[in-house]
Amino acid sequence: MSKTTDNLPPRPAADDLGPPVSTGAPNGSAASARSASKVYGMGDTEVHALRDVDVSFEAGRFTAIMGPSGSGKSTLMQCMAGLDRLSSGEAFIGPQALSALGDKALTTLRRDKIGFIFQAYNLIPTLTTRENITLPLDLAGRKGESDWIDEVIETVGLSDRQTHRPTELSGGQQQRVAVARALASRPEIIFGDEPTGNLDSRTGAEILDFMRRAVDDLSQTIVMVTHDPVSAAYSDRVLFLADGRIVHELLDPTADLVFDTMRSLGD
Amino acid sequence: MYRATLKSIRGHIGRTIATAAAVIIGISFLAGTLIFTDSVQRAFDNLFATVFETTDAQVRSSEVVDAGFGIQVRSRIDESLVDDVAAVDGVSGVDGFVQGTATVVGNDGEPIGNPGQGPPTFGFSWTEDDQLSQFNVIDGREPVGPGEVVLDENTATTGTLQVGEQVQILSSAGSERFELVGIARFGTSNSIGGASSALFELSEAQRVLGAEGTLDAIGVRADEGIDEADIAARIGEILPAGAEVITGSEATEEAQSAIADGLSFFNIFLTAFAVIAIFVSAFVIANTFSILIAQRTRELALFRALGAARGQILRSVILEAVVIGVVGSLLGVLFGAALSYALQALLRLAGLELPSEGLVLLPRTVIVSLVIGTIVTVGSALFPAIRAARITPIEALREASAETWKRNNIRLAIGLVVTALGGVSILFGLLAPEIALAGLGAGFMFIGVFVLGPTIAKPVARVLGAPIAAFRGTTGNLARDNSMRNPKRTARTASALTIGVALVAGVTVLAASLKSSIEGTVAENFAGDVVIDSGSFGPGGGFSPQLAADVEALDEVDVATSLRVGVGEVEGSGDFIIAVEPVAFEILDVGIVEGSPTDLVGETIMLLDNNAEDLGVGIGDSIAVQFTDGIDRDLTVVGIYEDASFAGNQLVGQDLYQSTAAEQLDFAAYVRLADGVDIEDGRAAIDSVTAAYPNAEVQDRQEFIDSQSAQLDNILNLIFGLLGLAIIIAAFGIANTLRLSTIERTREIGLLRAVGMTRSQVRSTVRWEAVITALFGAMLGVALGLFFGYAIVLALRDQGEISLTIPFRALTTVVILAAIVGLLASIIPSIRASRLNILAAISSGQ
Ligand SMILES: Nc1ncnc2c1ncn2[C@@H]1O[C@H](COP(=O)(O)OP(=O)(O)O)[C@@H](O)[C@H]1O
Ligand SMILES: [Mg+2]
Repeated sequence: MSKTTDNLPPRPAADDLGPPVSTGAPNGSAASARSASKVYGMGDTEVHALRDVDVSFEAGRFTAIMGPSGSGKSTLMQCMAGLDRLSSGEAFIGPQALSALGDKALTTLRRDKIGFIFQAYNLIPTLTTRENITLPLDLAGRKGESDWIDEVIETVGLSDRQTHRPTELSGGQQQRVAVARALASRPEIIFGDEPTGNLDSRTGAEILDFMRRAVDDLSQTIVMVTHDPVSAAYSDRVLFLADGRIVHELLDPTADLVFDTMRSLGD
Repeated sequence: MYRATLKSIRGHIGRTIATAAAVIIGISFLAGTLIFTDSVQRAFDNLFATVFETTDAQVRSSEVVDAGFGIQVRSRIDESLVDDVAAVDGVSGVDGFVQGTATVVGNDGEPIGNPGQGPPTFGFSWTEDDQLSQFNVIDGREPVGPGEVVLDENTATTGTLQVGEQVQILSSAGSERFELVGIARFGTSNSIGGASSALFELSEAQRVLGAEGTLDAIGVRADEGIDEADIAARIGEILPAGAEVITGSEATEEAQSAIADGLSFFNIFLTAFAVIAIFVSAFVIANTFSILIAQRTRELALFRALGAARGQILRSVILEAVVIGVVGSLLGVLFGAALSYALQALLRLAGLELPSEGLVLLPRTVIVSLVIGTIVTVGSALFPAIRAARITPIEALREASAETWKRNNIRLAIGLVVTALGGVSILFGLLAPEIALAGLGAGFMFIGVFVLGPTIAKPVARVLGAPIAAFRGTTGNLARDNSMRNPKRTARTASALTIGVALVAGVTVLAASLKSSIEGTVAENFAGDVVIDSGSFGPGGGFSPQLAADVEALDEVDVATSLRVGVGEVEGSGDFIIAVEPVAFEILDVGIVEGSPTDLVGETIMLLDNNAEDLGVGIGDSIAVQFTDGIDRDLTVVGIYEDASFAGNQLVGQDLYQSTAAEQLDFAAYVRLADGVDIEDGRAAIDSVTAAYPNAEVQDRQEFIDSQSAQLDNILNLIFGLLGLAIIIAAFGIANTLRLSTIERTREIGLLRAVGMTRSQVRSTVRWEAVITALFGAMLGVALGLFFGYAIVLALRDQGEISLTIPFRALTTVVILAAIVGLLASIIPSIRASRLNILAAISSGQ
């Protein structure tokens, strides 16, 4: 796999996205948040999904986010990925503050700098495997990267499925397409919200393997929400959320370590 | 269940309105037509009731020639009858009356009204008896001698003519100036339904209107205490043969029913378009319900699982349709009233002020609209409802919800058979001719194509979408894929547009064919240099024969000859008869196959070959012809010709026609210039003569040829305007489908947005899908329209020179316009799609 690292075309420069707003994004981090808060609803129905979260995701690392249901994992991920806006505080992709961007700039930022892997319904049913994978590139009108796309497709083992439609693929294959799509545009960071949540453990392990290799071989940055200790063990670092706050951090985790931490936090 | 239905209606108010929009437009047109004609009829009824209020009886000729097309010409009676009628015991007042054509020229030099294409231009005698008079002077005084005229208020206003001014008036007597001595109203109205009226003292009227010594009618007022039937009976006893008497109420009824006849033609014409509109609405409604039910499969299956019976599901869907139908129809009536009001305002703007007494909404209008609107809506929803009832509880658990479609050979076969059946009915119906059969055939063809649509939609959408996919990249590609993913939906959505476009294309093809043949024959058959055209054809229009005589007298002119049109009964059936001078044949070629035109003098006639065949006569035979003077004449056939474009069905000499006491007005004059005179000089000379006749337009050959086909354009524009309605309804159908489809694809759109599709790219995707759908509908429509046009041309070929001309440019324009309609229809759905909240879309359960 390491051969791919050598012939990487350069990433799109960060200043493609308009003037970077340097309001304190930590140097070297692919994404970060400062005093991030998110409140849903008003008055009686007010829910504090995130409370004053400070976090930074270093480039080239694989981070897992864990926590009980409703702890704010998805909210954190969505706000960092430019799918939603914080109520207060700031989220950054590289040096770029997201609150400074309008819908159009935010959309192009997602397209060019961020990759997504959702739990399910990742693919457009009318498009073929290959078209799904190149979708962000096509939307950007980026061409001439077919060697790279071929490599990605080969890496995830879909070379013989390129012209299939999503309905003709198994669940695991569909998630592999999603991983390939996330890698295809060589984003600054890839966010996955329980990307293996719908898969059996063997297929899930396969997907996690790909993600791990993308970090190791391609220096990708990945942030993944999961509730499974075994999945979390693929990461370099686990963040634990509870009630909208980061309550614990684990480096170089093992499944047992994660499991124990969850147990202790649950008390 | 019912509560659930009503909730569903309320919960999806936007989509309910969009569905109802199709019903509303269709019904509003129907209701508008009814309201408009009822209102006009009511106003005219009241007007005539007051106009004849004081007339107890009317004496007139019993001879009437009916030329068809609602044109009736009654003979005149001798003026000496006035004294005889006045002498009848019980008659307290009489007044002789003449009527004819007199066109008033406004202060801007333009003739007011045009008997050919606009409101008629009447000349009348002034009725001296105040109580019999239908006009009341509101300014100035009545006309009492030669050179004086009174005009109706509307005409005076239109021409900015004031009492005391000189007014130019064109009639069979020529172009003359009169002093405007007064302005009058007709009853309480400022004109007779928008027509112009010039009123002269009786003997002046007789001179101007070519009625010396004769009258059109005699109005009678009876002594106090004698009722109208009584006085009519007494007068009847002294009348000579050829004259008749009717009571005042009969005169009122006749006038009212003449209006009703005129309106009924109008009514049928508009109703035909209302039917088309409603037919198209039915397609839109059926399609919307199909999609709705497909999308609600899980919801309905859940109801079934929870114990709802089949019948309950069926009834609840039908209930939804009933609600939409009733509400839509009632709104349609409301919009119809507005439409009718707008139509009246429009006519008023066009200078055609109809007597107005507000809108008349008869219970019949509401009932017809409600019944038709509801039946159409429920009928259209029936199939989808039955399909809904067949949903099994198991389907609640299945993943797939959207309509599925598989190629089905039985369906294909049925579609082909129905289409072919429709095609054959059209051909037979047109050739028979049996218009109802042809109309039915067209309906069948639409249904057949509707059935076939899904089978052809996918491959056609692939081809149509290819350039879009190539040029628009991903968005174009997605648009194409979307239009192909559910061919049934695409085809159905397009079907409404197909109908509208097919009709437009059919009319376009027919018009192009007619035009090119008109232009061809005119160019071939006219050997002269200049035409002087009155723009009207038929009794009551044209210019004085003096014009042609004056032009002929010019040094620059070799031949100037006119065509005059009258009506008569030929072997008992009414028809137009054209009167010519023998010299006309030097510059007009009518394709004489037998006989010699120089024989067309005195009691002779020439016949079109088809006509001679129908009558079973040939050269030397004689046929019975009665002109409007009521005299039976036996005319000898002296010629047979084959080209009707200038000559119509029969030709007589102008000398004969002059002797019939009919109004002598030329509808056109044809000129050949003298040798060596160039067209510029010739025209200048002719212009100096026609200057006195503002209703005469001088044209050179090319202008004449162009103007012949330009006449078609007016009718065409009207038809296109009305067919536009069907296309607007189709646009609603497209919008509705897009809206429902984007709702169905909420999650997909959310995903696209998440991975970087901008809002404008989302809009573009929806837009191009609409364009592909519209193009598909338009292409099918053009194909059908070509067939319709071809069938009609085939049927017409029997009756004259016509060959199929395919107007490629016009048809291309139609297709482009249809694509634009698709674009417009996509505006709102595409904006909605682009505004979807990404997170809500991604997490929306499916
Ligand atoms: N759109 C929303 N409206 C209101 N509350 C929401 C919304 N989305 C999430 N929440 C609430 O915010 C909290 C955090 O949710 P989420 O980030 O989805 O948690 P997790 O992914 O960790 O399960 C929960 O209490 C949830 O109910
Ligand atoms: Mg979550």
